[in-house]
Amino acid sequence: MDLTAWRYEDGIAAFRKEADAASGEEDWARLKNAYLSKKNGLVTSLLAGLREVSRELKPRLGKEINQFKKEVEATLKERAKVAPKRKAAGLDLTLPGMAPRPGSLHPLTLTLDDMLKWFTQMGYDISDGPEIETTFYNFEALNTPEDHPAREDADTFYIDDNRLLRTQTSGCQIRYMQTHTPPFRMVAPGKVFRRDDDATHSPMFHQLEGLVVGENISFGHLKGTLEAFARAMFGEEVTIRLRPSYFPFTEPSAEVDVTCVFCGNEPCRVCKGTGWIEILGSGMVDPNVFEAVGYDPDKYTGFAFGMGIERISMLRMQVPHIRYYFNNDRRFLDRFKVG
Amino acid sequence: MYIHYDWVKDYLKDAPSMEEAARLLNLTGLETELEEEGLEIEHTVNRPDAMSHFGVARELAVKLNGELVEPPVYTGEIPQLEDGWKIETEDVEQCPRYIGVKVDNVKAEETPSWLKAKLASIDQTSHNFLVDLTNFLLWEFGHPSHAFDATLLEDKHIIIRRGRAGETLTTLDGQDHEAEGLLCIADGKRPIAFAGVMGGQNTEVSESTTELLLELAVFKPGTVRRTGSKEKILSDARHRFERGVDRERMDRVIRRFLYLLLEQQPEARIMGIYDMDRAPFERASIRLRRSQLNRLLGIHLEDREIEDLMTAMDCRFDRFDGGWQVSVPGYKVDVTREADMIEEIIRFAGLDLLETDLPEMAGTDLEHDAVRENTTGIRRTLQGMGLQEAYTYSFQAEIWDKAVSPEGEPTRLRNPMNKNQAVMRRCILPGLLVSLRNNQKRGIADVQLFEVGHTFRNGIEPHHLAVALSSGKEKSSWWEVPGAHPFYQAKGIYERLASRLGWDALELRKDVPNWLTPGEALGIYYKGNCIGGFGTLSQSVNKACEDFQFETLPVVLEIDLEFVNDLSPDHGQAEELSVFPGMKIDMAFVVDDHLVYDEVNRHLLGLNLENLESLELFDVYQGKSVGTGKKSLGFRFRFQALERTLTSEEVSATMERVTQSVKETFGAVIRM
Repeated sequence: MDLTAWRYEDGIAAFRKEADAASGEEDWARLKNAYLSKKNGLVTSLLAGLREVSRELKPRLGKEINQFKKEVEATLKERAKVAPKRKAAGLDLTLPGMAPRPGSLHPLTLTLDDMLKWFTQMGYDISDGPEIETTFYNFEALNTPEDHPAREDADTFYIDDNRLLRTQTSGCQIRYMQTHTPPFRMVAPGKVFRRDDDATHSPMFHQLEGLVVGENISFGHLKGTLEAFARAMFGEEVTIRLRPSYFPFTEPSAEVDVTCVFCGNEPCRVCKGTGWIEILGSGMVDPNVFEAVGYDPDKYTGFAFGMGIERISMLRMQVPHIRYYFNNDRRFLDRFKVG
Repeated sequence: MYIHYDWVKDYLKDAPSMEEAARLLNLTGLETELEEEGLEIEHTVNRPDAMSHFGVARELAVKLNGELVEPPVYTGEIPQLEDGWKIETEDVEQCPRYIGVKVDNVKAEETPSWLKAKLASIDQTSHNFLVDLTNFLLWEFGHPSHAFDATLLEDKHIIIRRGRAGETLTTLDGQDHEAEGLLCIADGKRPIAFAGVMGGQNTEVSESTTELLLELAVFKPGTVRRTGSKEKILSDARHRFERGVDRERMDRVIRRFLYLLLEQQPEARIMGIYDMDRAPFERASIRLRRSQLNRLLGIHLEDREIEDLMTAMDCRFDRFDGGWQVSVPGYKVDVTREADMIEEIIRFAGLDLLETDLPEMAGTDLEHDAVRENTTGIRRTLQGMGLQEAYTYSFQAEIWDKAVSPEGEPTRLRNPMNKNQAVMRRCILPGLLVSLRNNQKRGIADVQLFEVGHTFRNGIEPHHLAVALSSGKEKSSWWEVPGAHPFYQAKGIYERLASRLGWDALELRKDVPNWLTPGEALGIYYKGNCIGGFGTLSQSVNKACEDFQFETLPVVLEIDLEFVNDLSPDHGQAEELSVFPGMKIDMAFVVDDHLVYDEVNRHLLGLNLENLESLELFDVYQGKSVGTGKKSLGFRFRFQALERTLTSEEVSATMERVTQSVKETFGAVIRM
C-alpha cells in the first residue's frame, strides 16, 4: 500500500464517520473486520505499507498510524463492552436457571421452629433432656409409682431396671424445676419412644413439653395460652375445647381439641365428623409433682402440657403417614419449603 | 370398653338419647364413640368407677342431675357361715377384706334367656348360670367376683397367701403356672386362684356343682398388676382390680347376686356369709378450700352449684369458714386430695366455664444454649448448600453401629421390637447410609442428607452432625460440569460450616476414623482429640452388612458437636474498607505433582507481601502442556492499600519477589 498520500486526519475522519453510522452487531463486526482483521484489515495494511515508505516520512507516518490504530482499537473495544461478544440472540429463556439443587429442612424441624418461635415470643425458655431417662424422671417423680397401671410394660423400651427410653418429654419438667425457681415458663422439645409400630404409630416420635409455674397460675391461664397457641398454629379462626382427662402428673387434667381445620365443623374424614381434632394433653401440675421437686404446693400452682410434633405437622402439612417422617425419601423431603 | 346403652338405661329414670349420652360422657372425661347400639368408651386408668353399666349411668346422672335407679337386691337375713368354715389372710395390706357366701342346692344350669341376651349384647359368651351371674355382676357394678365349687375346697378353709415353692395352678384358661411368690387364694392344701386375676380349674364350677362359695374381695392393685403382668394374664378382673374397686358397695353386690340367684333358683339355700374385714373401709376426708378452688380454676363457682354437684356425686360434706370438709364415696377410688376434688367439681360443672386468660409474669431468664444455636446455624448453612435434612431413629441395628464404632459396646435395649432397632446409636451415619440406600433402591440416585441429633456413649448423649452424599451421581443439571473428586464436596461442606460458624479451633489431619478411606479423607481434631472426619466412606463399613453395599462409595461427614460449648457466641467483626482501587494479578506456575497446595499457600502467605488483600487458588491443571509429573497452580493475588492508590511499579516489584521465591523454593516455572 502506498502511504505517501495517507494522512491521519483523513483516515480518522473516515473511520469516525463509519463508526457513527454503525448500528447493530453486524455493522460493528464488519467494521472490526475492515480495520483490524490480521489478514487484510486497514490497520494491518498500513503497518505493512510503513515498511516501504521513505526514511524521511517514516517517523511522522509511524506516529500517526500508531495513533490511528489506538483510536480504532479503543473505539471498537469500547463498543465491544457495550455489546459483549457473548451470544445474546437466540437464548432459550425457558431453560432452568443455574443454581444448586435446593436443600431442605425436615418438616419436623420446620414445625418445631414455628412452635418454638411462638413460645419464645411469649417468654418461654427452651430446655432439653436426655433420651435415655431414669425411671425416676420418667415415672416416679411424675406421680407414676411402680405399680401404677399407667406404667404399662408393653409400651416402654428398657435399657435395664433403672433406665429406659423416655416415653414422654415430661421428665424435662422435673429436671427444669430442680434447677430453677418460679416463676418461670419453659418448653422442652425432644424425641420420645414407645413400643408401638403400625400404620399410625412410630416407635420414635417427637413431643413438645410445656410448663408454667407461678404463685397464681390457673386453669384459665392454661386454656388462654393453648388457645392462643392453637390459633398461631392453625389460624385465627380456630377455637379450642377442653375435655377432662387423666395424666398422673396433672390434676385436673384435660385433653385439648381444636376445631377441625379441614371441614370447619362440617363432617370430614380427619375429624371423623366430630368437628374437633385432639391435639394435646394438659393440666394443672399435680401437688405430688411439686412435692417431688421440693416446691410448696400451697404456694405455687402451675400448668403443663405436652403435644406430639408429628401430630401438629401432619395436620398442618397434610402428611398422610407418620412413617414418612423417618424414611427420608427424597420425594417427601423435596416437598417442604422454608417459608 | 363396649357399653350397651339399653343396659345403661336400666339404671336411669330419665335417660337421654344415646347420642346425647355420648356427648355428655365426652364432656365429663370419658372418651366415647358412638356404635350401633352402644358406646365404645376408652377409660383413662383413673376411672374404674365407670367401667360398668351402672357406673356409666351414675356418670350421666351426676352430669344431668338426674335420678339414678338402684337395681333390686336380696333384703332377707344372711346368717353367719358356721360349720367349721374359716377365711383368713396372711397380709392385711394385700387383702383387707374377703367375703365368702356359701349357697347350697344350686344348679349350674343353662342361663335364662334374659341374662344370655344381656351378656350377648356386649359380646360375652354364656357358660352356665352361676358363672354367668358373676360375669353379669362385673359388667353391672364393675366389681369382679368368683364362684368356687364349695365341695372342692379342702378343709373348709380359705387363705390369702403367697404361693409356696413347688406349688402350681392351672388357671381357667387352661394355662399352667408356677405359683411361688404370687398372691394366691388357697384352700387348706393348695392355691385355687391368683388373687384378683383368675380362678383355678381345680375348684371350677361345673355341671355337677351343687354347693357354691361366692368370693367378693379387695386386693392391693399393684399386686394384682404384678401377678397378671408376670403370668401374662389379661382378665376383666385384673383390669378392674388393678385400678381399684368400690369398697362401699360390696354388701350390695353380694345381695344383688343373691337376689338374682334366688329369682332363678328359689330352692337355693343361703348357708351363710363369712366376712373377713380386717381393715374396714373409711371414706376419704378432704379439706376443700374455697380459695384454692378459685386459685386453681381462675373462676368463681357459686356455693350452691358446688354443693349440688357434691350431693349428686354422693359426697357428704360439712361447711367451714372458707370451704368444705368432704367425705368421698367409695366409688371414687382416685379422689383422695383437694386437687382431685377440684377436678371432680370442674369436670361436671364443665370445662367450658373456664375463662381464657394469659398468665401475667415477668419473662423467664433465657439461657444461652450453644448446641442449639450452632445446630440452627448448621441446618441453615447446609440447607443453603443444597443438602436435605433427614431424621433417623435413635436406635440402630447392632451390626450398623459396630461397623462404624468397632471399639467398645453400644447401649443395648432390653426389649427391642426388631434387630434394626436394637442398640442406641453411637454415630448417626449408619442411619443416613440406610436412608441413602433406600432412596437408591427406589431409583433416586442423587441424595444429599444430613442429620443433627443425640448419640449415646458412656452414659452421656453427645450431639452429632452427620452428612451422607451419594456420589458417582448422574449429571443432574444441564449446566453442571463433571467435577473433581467428591471428597472435595465433603471438604467444601466442612469448610463452609467451619467458616460460617467460627470453628477456628478445629484442625484437620490425615489420620482418619476407621469409617473413612485413608488418603481420601481427613480427620477433624479438637484439642488434640479426633472428634470426627469427612471424606470417602471406608470399604470395610460399606461391606459390613447388606444394608449398605454401595456400588460407588458415598462421601460422608460426622462430627461430635460438644466442642461448641467452649465457643463464645461470635458473629465476627468489621474493619475499615479501602476506597482506593485495588489491583488483581493472576499468576500460574508449574510445580512437581507431589507438592501439596497447602504448602505452597502457606509459603506465599509467609512472604508477608505488602498490601496483599487476598490470595486465592483459581486453577489447578494437569496435562500435556505442563509435562508429566507436573501440575500448574493458578493463584489470584489482590492488592489494595487503605490510604492510597497502588502504583503498578510497586505491585510489579512485589510480584517479582513472588516469582523469585517460588522458583527458588519449589523449582517452579512461571506460566503466565
